[in-house]
Amino acid sequence: MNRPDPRLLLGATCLAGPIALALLSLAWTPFAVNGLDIAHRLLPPDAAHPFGTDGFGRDLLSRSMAGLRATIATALAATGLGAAIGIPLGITIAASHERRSAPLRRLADLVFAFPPVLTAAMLAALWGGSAAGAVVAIGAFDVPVFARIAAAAALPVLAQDFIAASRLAGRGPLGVLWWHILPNIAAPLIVQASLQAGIAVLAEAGLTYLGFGLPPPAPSLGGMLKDYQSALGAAPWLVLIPGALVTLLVLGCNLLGDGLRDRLAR
Amino acid sequence: MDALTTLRSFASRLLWLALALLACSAITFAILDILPGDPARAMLGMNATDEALTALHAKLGLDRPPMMQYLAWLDDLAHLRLGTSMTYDIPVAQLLSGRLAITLPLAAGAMTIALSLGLPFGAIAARRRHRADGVMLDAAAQLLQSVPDFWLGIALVGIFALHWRFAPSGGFPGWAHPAAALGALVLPALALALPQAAVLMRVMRSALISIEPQDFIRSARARGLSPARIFLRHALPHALLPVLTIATMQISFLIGGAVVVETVFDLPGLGRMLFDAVGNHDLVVLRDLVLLVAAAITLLSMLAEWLATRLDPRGQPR
Repeated sequence: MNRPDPRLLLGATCLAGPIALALLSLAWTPFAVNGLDIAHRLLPPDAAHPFGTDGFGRDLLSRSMAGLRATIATALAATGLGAAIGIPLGITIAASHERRSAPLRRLADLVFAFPPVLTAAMLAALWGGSAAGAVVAIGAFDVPVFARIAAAAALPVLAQDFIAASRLAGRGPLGVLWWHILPNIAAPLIVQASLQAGIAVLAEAGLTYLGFGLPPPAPSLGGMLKDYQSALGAAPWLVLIPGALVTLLVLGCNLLGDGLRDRLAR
Repeated sequence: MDALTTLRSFASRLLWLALALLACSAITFAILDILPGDPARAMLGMNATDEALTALHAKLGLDRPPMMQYLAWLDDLAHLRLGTSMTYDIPVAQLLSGRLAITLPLAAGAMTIALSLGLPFGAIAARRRHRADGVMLDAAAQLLQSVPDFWLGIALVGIFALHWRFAPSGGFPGWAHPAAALGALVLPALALALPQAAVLMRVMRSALISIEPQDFIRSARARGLSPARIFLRHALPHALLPVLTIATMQISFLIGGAVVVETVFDLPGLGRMLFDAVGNHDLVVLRDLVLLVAAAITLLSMLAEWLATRLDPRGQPR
C-alpha cells in the first residue's frame, strides 16, 4: 500500500490553487485591489477579468487574491495559537494527578462556551473589528481541542520506560516534552491541526461577514459576501466565487486531515 | 443505581454548573471591563467631552473599582435584573424575550433537521459504503460540511426566494402570523442545519462501520437475530454515543452560526442583537447577551453530557 491516499492528493490540489493565489498577491495582483473603474462595473467573468468586476468596477480576482491571503494568514495564526497553548496544557493535564487534572480539563472545556463569534464580538466592541481579534477569538476556541487530543495521546507515552529513563538521565521537563513526548504524539496533532485550520477558515469568513474581523476597505472573503449579497440577482458570480473559494479551502483542509489520519494511524 | 448516588451525582453536576457559570461571567467581565479600552469612550466616540465621559462613567458604575463592578453585576444577575440598553434605553430583558422567540426556534429547528437528516443518511451510507451510491453520499457530505452556512443561506435565497419565489428572502413577520413566521425560518434553519447534518452523517457512518466487525454483532448474527433487530438493538445504541458527543459540540457551532445566518436573513434574533450591540458599542447589552449565550451553551452541553452517561452503561457508577 504505497499508493498515496486519493484524499491526500485531492486535498493538496484543493489547497494548492488558493494558496498560490494568496502568495502571488503578496507580489502582484492583476489590478489594484481597491482600484475603482466605474466604466467597467458588474462585468461577468471574461478574459480581462476572469472573476468579473463588482459594482464599483473593482476586479474580483485581485480582491479574491488579497482576501484569500487574509483568510489563510488568519487561519494559520489562529490554529498555531490554539496549538501553542493547547498542546502544553494537554500534556500538563496528562502528566498531573487526576485530582489536579480534572479541574484543568473542566476549565479548558469552559472555552467551548465562547464560540469565536462571541469573543470576536466583545473584542470588536472594544477596539473595532481587526484581524488580530479574529485570530485570538478563533485560536482561543482551538485551545481545548488541542488540549484534549494532546492529553489523550500523551497519557500512554508518559507511562513508558524511555520517558522515565530520560528523566533519570537528567533531562528537564521541557527537554522531555520537546524531545520525547512531542514527536510521539505529533500524528494526531497534525491531523487535528489540519481539521482545525478548516474550521478556522469557516470562522474567519463568518467573522469578516459580520465585520468582526479584518475591517474594510481591506478585501476579505466574508466582507465581499456581505457587500455583494444584495447584487445576488444581477451579478451572481460576485457571491458564488468568494463562497466557492472558502469552500475549496475548507474542503482541502478536511480531505488532508482525513487522509493524514488514515495514513499516520498505520 | 440507588437514589443516593443519583442524588449525589446530580448535586455534583449542579455544583459544576454553578462554578462554570461563575467562570463564564468572570471571563466575560474580564474581557469587556478589565481589558484596556474605555467602554464609555467606545460608546460616546472620540469627540466626547470630559463631562459627558464622567457622567456616563457614573451612570455605568465605571467609577467604582472593578471588583465592586463585577460583584454588582453578579448581584443584578442573581436577582435576574438585567441592565438597561444604552442605545434604546429599554431593559435588556425586554429586548431579549422578543429575540429569543426567533433564535430558539431557529436553533432547535436546525438541530432537529440536522439530526433527522444526518442519522438516517449516515446509516444508509454505512450500509452501502461499497456501492457507488454510498460512496457518492459520503463525498457529497464531505463537500457539504465544507460549505459556510451563511453562504449556503445566500444561495438558498437566490434559488428559493429570488428565482422560484417559494419563500421570503428575509425579514420576520412576527409570531402573530404563525405560518408566515415559520416560513421565514425555513431557509435559515436549512442553511444552518445542512452542513451540520453532513457532519453528523459522517460520524454516524464511521461509527456504524467500526461497530460492524465487532464480536457482539457477530454473536447476535449467529444467534439468528434479524438484521433489523441487530441494527436497532445492538449497533444503533453504540453508534449513538459518538454521535451525541459530536452533536454536543455542534451546539456551540449552531449558536455561533445562528448569529451570522440571522444577519443574512435579516432576522431580528439574538444574533442581530449581538451584531447591533457591537455596532452601537452598547456594552451593557453585550455583557448580558454574551453571558446568556455562554450560559446556554454550558447548560446544554452539560445536559448532553449527562444524557451520554445515561446511555452508556460503562459510565454508570456501580
